[in-house]
Amino acid sequence: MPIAKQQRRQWLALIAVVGFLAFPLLVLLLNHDPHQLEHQASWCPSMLFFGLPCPGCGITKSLVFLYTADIVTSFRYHLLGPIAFIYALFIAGYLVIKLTTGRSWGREYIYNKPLAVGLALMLGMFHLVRLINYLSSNSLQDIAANSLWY
Amino acid sequence: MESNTNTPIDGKVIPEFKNEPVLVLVFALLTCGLYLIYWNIKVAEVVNAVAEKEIISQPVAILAGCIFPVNIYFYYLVGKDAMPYISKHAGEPVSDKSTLLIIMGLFFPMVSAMIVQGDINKLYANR
Repeated sequence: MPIAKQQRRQWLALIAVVGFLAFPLLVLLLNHDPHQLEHQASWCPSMLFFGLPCPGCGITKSLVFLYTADIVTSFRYHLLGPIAFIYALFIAGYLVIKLTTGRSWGREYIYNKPLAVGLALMLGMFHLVRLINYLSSNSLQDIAANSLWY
Repeated sequence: MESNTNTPIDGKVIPEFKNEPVLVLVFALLTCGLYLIYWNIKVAEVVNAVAEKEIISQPVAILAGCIFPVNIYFYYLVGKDAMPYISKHAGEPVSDKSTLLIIMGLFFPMVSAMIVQGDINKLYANR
């Protein structure tokens, strides 16, 4: 891949990662009391269309609470929230070093299948448990009420 | 029906991940997105094998499934970088589907997955 094209991809990746880290800050600025978020509707297409959470539901709220140093609530919203935050910081660092010095420091943690499988298992287990809990504690009417169509 | 063995194509060993696109939608709906976690890993594996380089990071592919705006970047990367390799290997004309994948990925990720799966299937069509 030509270097200019590769650098453009790296810049885009950096924008995406910084966007992920900055988006909860924007949510926090718009909601002075983060606990109000508990009663606000989700923007997730899965929740909007089907009334059911997707594997990523709650990750923004998790980061919002992480930014307020409420670690327990952060993990409660999404097990992967604080982990994704640390990994996103690592990727941002990797990309900044790569773009400024050309060195691929820590590349083995970016392209790493065992890490991917570990993350997938963690995300899968968390989502499965949350789904079972959600379905057992909500009636079909409650689930429909969470969707856009109700 | 899903097939999951290694297939030599043009001398390259490419993991076989042939699946009916409509089944991707059905599995994703039935499992409330759980299937897409597995699907993301497999697609990253196939794409990297076809391109013979690390185009998509597998851990990022997992997180892209649930993180905005990393999901936009993921579909951009698949559409711009990965799909041309797949089309080339399948002997199909190369086209840029990144815009379509990004828009569909934002609102209906399962439909984007169906589009990508349809293109990946072409790799194994002339086997």
